[in-house]
Amino acid sequence: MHTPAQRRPRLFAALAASGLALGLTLLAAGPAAAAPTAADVTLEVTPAVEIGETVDVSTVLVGTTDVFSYAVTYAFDPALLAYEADSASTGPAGGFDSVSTGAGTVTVLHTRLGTSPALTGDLPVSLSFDTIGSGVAAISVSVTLVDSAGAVTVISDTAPESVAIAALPVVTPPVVSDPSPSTSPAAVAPSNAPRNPDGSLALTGFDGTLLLTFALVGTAAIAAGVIVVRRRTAVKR
Amino acid sequence: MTAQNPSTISRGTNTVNPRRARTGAIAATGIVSMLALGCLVATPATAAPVEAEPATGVLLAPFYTELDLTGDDQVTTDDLDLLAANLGATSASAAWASVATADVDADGTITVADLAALSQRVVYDDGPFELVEASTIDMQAAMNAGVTTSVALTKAYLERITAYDRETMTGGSRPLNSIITTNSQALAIAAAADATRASSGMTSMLLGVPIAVKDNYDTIDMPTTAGCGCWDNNQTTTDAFMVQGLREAGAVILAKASLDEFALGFTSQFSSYQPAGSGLLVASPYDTSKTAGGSSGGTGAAIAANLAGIGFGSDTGGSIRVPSSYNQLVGIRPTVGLSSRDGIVPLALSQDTGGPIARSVTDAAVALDAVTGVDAADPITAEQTGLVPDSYTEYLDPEALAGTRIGYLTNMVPTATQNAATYTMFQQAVATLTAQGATVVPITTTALNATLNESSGSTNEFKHDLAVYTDTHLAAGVESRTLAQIIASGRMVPNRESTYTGRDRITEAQYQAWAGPTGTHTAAIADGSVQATALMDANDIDALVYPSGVPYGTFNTNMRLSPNTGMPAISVPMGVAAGNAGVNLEFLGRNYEEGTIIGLGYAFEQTTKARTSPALYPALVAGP
Repeated sequence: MHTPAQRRPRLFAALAASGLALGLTLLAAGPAAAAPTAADVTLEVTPAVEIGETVDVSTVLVGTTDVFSYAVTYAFDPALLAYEADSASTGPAGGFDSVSTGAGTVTVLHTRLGTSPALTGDLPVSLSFDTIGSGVAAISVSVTLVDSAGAVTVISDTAPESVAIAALPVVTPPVVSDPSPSTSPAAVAPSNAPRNPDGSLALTGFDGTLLLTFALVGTAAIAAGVIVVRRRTAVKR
Repeated sequence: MTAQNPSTISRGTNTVNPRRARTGAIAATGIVSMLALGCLVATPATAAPVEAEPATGVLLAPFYTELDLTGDDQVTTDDLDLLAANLGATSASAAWASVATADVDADGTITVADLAALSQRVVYDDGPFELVEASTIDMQAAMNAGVTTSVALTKAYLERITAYDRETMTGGSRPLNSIITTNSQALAIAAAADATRASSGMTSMLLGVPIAVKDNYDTIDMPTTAGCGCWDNNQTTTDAFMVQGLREAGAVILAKASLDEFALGFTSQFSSYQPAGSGLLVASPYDTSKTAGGSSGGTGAAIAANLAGIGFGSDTGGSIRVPSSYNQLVGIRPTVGLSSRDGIVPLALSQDTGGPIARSVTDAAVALDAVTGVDAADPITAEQTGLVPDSYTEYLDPEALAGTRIGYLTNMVPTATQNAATYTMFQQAVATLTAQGATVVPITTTALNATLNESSGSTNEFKHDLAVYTDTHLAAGVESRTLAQIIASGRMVPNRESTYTGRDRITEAQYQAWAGPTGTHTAAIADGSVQATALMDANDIDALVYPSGVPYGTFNTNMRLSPNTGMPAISVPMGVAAGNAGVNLEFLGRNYEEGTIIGLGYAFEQTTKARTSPALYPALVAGP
C-alpha cells in the first residue's frame, strides 16, 4: 500500500552570485528569476558624544521590493559601545521581530508571517548604543533580504560611520584656602572633603571601586559575547 | 435512528494504514488542529488584533507541522524565537539538534532564509482577503491576522445569498434556488466563534467557517424539510450527528441547501415552502439553463457560487459526486460507516452516507475530519474504530501520486464516440497521473459487472428507512408522517406521486428480502466490496479511477461502484467542457482508506487546477 511521502525541505541553491548593482554589492541566491532588492541602504550615526551618552543609529533600506524577511546586522567595537536593551525599532505591524546580540554585533530581524504579502518600499531600522569607553567607534551595517520564495540578497558594502566618544571632563577640585591655624590639631577633616587625593573620581557617598568593578565585568562580558538580548515585539499588542 | 441492517454488511480485506484511532463522541469533534496564533497576531492597520494563548494540536500536516521545533505540532512564535536565538548556528553547534529541523536549505547553518521559511508555516495572512473562492486556510489566515472575522464572513455569505440565490442574473436564465433556509442564529454563532478565537486561538480549522448543509441534515436552529413542502415545519430537537461534529469544531451552520425532494433524483427539484403541487429547480451557476445535478444540487450550486464556505451532501447513488462533477467541486463519499447517518433523512441506508462538497480537496479533508466518529445510533460506524487518522489533512501531499499504481476499468471510460469531451479529458488525466509518477493500469474485466449492474436500494428501502427517521426524529407537529400521508397532502414536487406510490407499495417482506441481514442487496454490496478489493489487490493498485460523469450527465453505471461496494470515493475536477460544464475524475479506494484517495486527489488537483469560478456570481460590489 502506498504511504504518502513526507514532504521534503526545499533546497535552495547556495549563495553563488555576486555583482554590483546600484552601487551596492549584492549577493543573490535561490531562484534565479527574482530576488529581493533594495535601492540603497543608508546609515546615520550620532557623530559625537561624551562617554555615558547614547549613540543613536538609524538605517533605511531604501526602495525595497519583495522582502518577506530581513536582518540588519551592525558591527561595532564592544569596548566602546554596548547595545541599549529594547532600543531597536520594530518592523511593520503584523510580523515577527527579534533582536539578538553577540560579541560586537547586534542583529535586528523582521519577518512576515504565513502567506502575508512581502514588503515593498522604505524600511527604517533604528537602535541605540550605550557608550562605555572613549575613542572613535566605527559602526558598520550589513543587510540580508529574503523573499517569499526563499531568494536571498545580501548587501554588505554600505560605508561605515563613526562616532567620537569623548572621555568625561576632569573635575578639578576647588581651591581651598589655608584655614586658620587650628587650636585643635586633632580635629576631624570635613565630611565633604575629597577622598581621593587626585580628584579623578570625585565621588560622594559612593564607593568608586564598585563602579570600576561593574564596568570591568560588563566589558568582559560583552567581549566574551555572553550577553544575549532577544526581543519579540510584533506579536501581542 | 436505531440499529440498521447495513451494520451487518461484511467488508473485503482492509489494508488501511495504521493510524491512531479516535474514540467515541470525541472523534466527531473535528479533531484537526489547533494552531495558536494569539501571540503571533499584530495589529493590521484596519483590524483589531486577535489575542490568544497557544493551543496544541495537529494542523494540516505535513506542511504546517513538519518544521515544528517545540514539539507541539505547529509553528508559533515559540519556534521563531528559538530559531532567531540560534541564527548562525551550525551543525557543529551545541544547539544544533534543537534547530536542525528548520535548516530548510540544508546548508548546515541557520540563516535568515531558514527563519523566513519557518515563518511561512503559520496560518496567517494580513494581506487583502477575497471571499470568492476563499479556502478554509484563506479564511483562517485572514481571521488569525485580524483582517476579517467570522461575523464578517457570515454576513458576507448571507449577503451573497440574498443578492444571488433567488435572482435571475444578467446573462442567466433562472435563479440558482440553492438555499432553502438561512440560519437566523448564524451571526450569533459567528460572534461566539470570534470570541473563542480571541480567548483560545484557532481551536479548529473550521472555527468560524460558514457551512451549508443539505436540507436533509437535522439542525436544531432550522427546519429540515428534505426538500418537501410536506415537512416545512419539521423543526427537530436535535442535530444530526455530523452537524454536532461541525458545531463542536466551531463551524457556523449558515444555511440549509436545497436538494431533490427526499434525495431521490439528479435534477434537484424541491417543494419546500412552495404552494402545493409546485416546485423549484436548482440551476448550475455555470449555465443556469442546466441543472446543478443532484440530489445534493443545492449544496453544489451554493458552494460553486460561493454562497458558503463548505457544503455537505448525502450520497445514495451519486448525490454527492454528481453535483460535484457538474459544479467543478470536490466531493467525498466516505466509506459507509465513517460518518453517522443519524439525523439525516434517509433514502436507502444500505448505501446512504454523508460527506463534504467543497471547492478544494483541502477543504473537503478539513470538513471530513469534523464529522467522523462512532455513533451508537448508527452501529455500522463502529467499524471505523482504529481506522481514522488524526486528520485527513496529513495526506495532503502534492507528491502523493509518485510511486503509486492507479487502475481503471476500460468499460467505465467513454470512447471518443460515446463522449468526446470526457474521453479527451480522461486521456489527459491519465497523462497527468503518469507525469506525476503514477503507473496507470488499464483493466479489462467482468469481475465488477454484477456490482455495477446492481440497482439502487432507494426503491426497496425508502419506505422502511423513512419510517425509522419519522419515528426517531421527525418533529411531532408534522402531519405527513408516512408516504401515504405525504402523497395525500399534495405538498410535493410535480409528477412525483407515482414514484412515492411505488415506494409505498414495498412490503416489509420485500424490504427484508432486499436489505435484511440475508437480503440480496446486502449480499451484493458485501460481494461488491470483496470483488473490488480483490481486483485492486490482484493488480496491486492504490485506487481505481473513472469519470464521475460526462458534461451535465452521468456515464453508464459509474456512480454505482462506490455505493454498491460501500467503498470510499473522492470526485475531483478533471476538466471543463464547452459551456463551462465540469467533469470530474473519481478515485475509489479501499474501505476506510479515505486518506489515500484524498492524497491522490490532492496531488491530481494541485497539478490540474481544473476548477473555475462561475462568472455569473462575482464578488459583490461594496455599497456606499
